Amino acid sequence: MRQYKGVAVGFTTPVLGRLTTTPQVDDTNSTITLTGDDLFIGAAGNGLKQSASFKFNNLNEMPHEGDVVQLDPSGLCTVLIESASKNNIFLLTECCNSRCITCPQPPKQKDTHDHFGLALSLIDLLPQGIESITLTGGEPTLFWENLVPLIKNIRTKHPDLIVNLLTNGRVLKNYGKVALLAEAGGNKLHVAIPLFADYDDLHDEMTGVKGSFWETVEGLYNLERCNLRIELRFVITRLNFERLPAWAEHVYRFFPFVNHVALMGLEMMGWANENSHNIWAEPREYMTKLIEAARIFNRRGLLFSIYNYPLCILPETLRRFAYSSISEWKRKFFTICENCGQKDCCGGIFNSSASYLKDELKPIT
Amino acid sequence: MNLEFDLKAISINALKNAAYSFLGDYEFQFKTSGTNVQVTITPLKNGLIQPDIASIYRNAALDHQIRIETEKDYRVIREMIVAQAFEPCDNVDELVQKIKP
Amino acid sequence: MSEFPYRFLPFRFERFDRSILLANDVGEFCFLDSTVFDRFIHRQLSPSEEMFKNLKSKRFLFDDHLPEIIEQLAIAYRTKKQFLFDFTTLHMLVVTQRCNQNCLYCHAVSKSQDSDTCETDMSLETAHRCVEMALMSPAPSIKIEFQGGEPLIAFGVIRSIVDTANTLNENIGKNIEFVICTNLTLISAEIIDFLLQNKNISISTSLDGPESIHDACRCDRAGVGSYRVFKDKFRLLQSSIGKERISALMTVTPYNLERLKEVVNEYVESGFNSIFLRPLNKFGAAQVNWGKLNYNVDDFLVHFKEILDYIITLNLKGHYFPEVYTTILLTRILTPYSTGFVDLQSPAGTGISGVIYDYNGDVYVSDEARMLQRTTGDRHFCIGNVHKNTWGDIFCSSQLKEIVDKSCIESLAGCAWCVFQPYCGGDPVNNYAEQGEIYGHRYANEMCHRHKGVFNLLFEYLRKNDPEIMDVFWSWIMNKPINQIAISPGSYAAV
Repeated sequence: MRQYKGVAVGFTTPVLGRLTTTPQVDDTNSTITLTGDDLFIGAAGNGLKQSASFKFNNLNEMPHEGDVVQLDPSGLCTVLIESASKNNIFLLTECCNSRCITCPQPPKQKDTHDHFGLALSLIDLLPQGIESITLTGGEPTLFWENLVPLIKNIRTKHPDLIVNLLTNGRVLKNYGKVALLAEAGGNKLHVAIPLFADYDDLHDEMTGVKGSFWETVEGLYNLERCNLRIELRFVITRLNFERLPAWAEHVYRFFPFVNHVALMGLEMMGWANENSHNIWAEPREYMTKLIEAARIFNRRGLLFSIYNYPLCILPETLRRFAYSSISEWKRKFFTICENCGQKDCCGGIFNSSASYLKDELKPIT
Repeated sequence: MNLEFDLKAISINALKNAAYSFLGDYEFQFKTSGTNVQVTITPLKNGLIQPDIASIYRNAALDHQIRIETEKDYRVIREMIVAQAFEPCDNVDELVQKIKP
Repeated sequence: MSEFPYRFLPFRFERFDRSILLANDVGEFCFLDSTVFDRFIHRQLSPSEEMFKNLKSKRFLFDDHLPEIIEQLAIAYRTKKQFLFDFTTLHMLVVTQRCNQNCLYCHAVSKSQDSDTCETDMSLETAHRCVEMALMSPAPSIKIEFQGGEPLIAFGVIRSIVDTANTLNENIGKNIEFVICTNLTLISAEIIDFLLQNKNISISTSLDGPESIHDACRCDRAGVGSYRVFKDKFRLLQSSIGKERISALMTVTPYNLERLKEVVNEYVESGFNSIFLRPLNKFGAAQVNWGKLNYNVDDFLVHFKEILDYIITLNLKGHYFPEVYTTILLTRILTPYSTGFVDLQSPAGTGISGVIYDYNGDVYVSDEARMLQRTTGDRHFCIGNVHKNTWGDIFCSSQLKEIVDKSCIESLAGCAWCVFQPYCGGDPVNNYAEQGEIYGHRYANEMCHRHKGVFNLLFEYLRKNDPEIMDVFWSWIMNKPINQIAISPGSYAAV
């Protein structure tokens, strides 16, 4: 999440609210009004004194109108909801039941913050008109008693909002749980699940958990039984890129009901970065396999997209499938990109992948 | 034409199944004595016999033996798949335990 | 030699030169080199080998998680046999035996137009009962197909059936499609009007090729070829109801077997979207005229390959033009889905997927069964009559059950181990007519011989995996223009 440093005066607990420069008469006490360049007066009822203020260190780098932020007494301003973004990400937990070798945000043993509680507050603060949000972790389904009510809550308060749930699907091997999920989220709940290979040994090797492949597969079948929308994801690494075409055929043969497939580039952070010697492969090494997988899906009418690649790295054939998937605050462009004719359509690259890919980038004329 | 087979290496069913596809053109007779079986192949019409019928038949029999051997492994699995397809049950795990070799 | 601890999942195989084709019960297939195959069956294939991973992924071997694998394969198997769950979807009605034509290969033993209609035409009462019977099928979607003779001669009966079906269906809520199988020569303004008002009716007609080919077999009762009338009526019909509602099939005879390219060109020029290359059925007049109409299976296969290559080339030039039979088989091989093609399925479609109601209300398990009765008088496959029997009497009869039992190719000699089994099917009526009993003998069965040849041909294309040919095949399977299938749009010309 985007973060800004500043100096907080006059408040003792973190304050959550939606930013605006126009003074509001706000019954919900949810608006934080920014007046002048750097001063703010909290809305009454936030537990703040009228003279509370937050001064941003860099006036050229500030959150935007409509963003939902958390201001800490320590001087940290964290943007939790970006008003300009089509899709906002809610972290629900840092715990996980898998140990994926590609994990950009390695799991913790215990959550140190009440992420679910924060999520509930954010749901109240979510501006109307946002298209979608993403619930992620760690593994959100580990906290079942919190997850289902959260999804119900979202559906009640924002009935048109698409909720993307990122999960490894293993807990979903339990049909009863998936039925509850379907009841809570209905057709607005889109579930995205990674499947690293077309056979169990390799998938289990990459998730670090023996048996995870078949648990996830059972989860997929349960999602289908409950009519929930599924996106199946393949993270492309040195360990599995050879299997791309076989994976594509396997998905069509055994999971033809999948609504969308995402073929994804690595985010080289956390464990992915630590394991780079094992998992990083140059795009040119696997581009033929990627094209073959794309061909397989396209022939069969299975919708797919390619995530996390700048347009110049992809061959022209595949560019129309590229989706700008990288959150704005994680995204990077280089000076060389200024001359590129496709910059406006391009999703850029991950900050964390910059050093890996920078020599491959070139402007498209 | 007479061919000899050792029943320790190839089963009588493999020999009979292999014979099936040739029945349009040949008649087959099987005579067992101990662990040997003699297969007599007689052409049905015109008395014409294919020159390489012996090797073709032998190879077909060997392939049928492969089918019989591999089927020992998967026969029960096939029955379970079909059963589960048309009359699904919740305790496939238990049933699989019962068929472990 | 020590073995690797993997076990086999159900599969079948066949050798082709140096290559071995494997196929499993859910239609997944794989080509193996013969040395790799030997190692596979002797459990010498190491888990680190690419082929091991392929065979595991495609479900030919496993080492663990058998319960989950069984569940997955059961789901896939059930999907493949989905056609069983709806029960009888195709209901053919013989509205008249009379025909204005006298085609050389007519399997329906048609009668002349001035015959006594009591002996030839379906009465309105019979028609009503047939519609009631058809609507009793549990299938949510049914197709009512008008057969004959020439159905348009009894247009009044057709009109009555459509009206009755639509009316009765208001309380039932099925999705009904109607098809009129007609030689097209009797199309009139009144009939076109009727088709414009009832958009759920489509036309299936016969075009054997350009004039000289078509008229070699398809003449009126005076011996005059029907091509010119056909073309006139076709143009009239097409301009009124459009291309999408008209399809054509052709019957392969010695008159066109070596001129199939001309036939295909005729179809393309006429504006048809597809062709169905249908081999001859040895019933009725075809049997009588067999001397003139006979061709052997091997000849058929040679020419089938030639014409398929030609059709593929046309598609690559931008004409979307599938061969329907090939498309059905490819859909079975390359997709996980079921295909509703009642003539080739296991158990056979006889009665349980398709059924035919004769002009007098007799119910037969298939069109061939009706033709058998016409040709030889044998009523072996008549399962009842709409005037005398209930739905239960007919569709739950032990007679029907026996026919279906004996047509499960999974347990028939020859089919049980055939590598093409997951894609093929049985025809108990054909077996009975050709070989004297329902089981049939694969070793001398023309239908088997022909299908093996066609499958061999298709799998050879699949083994070569030429990207352009595969794009054509997928455009047929998906029913989309090739440029939508291709990974690079615009890589093929568009016509």
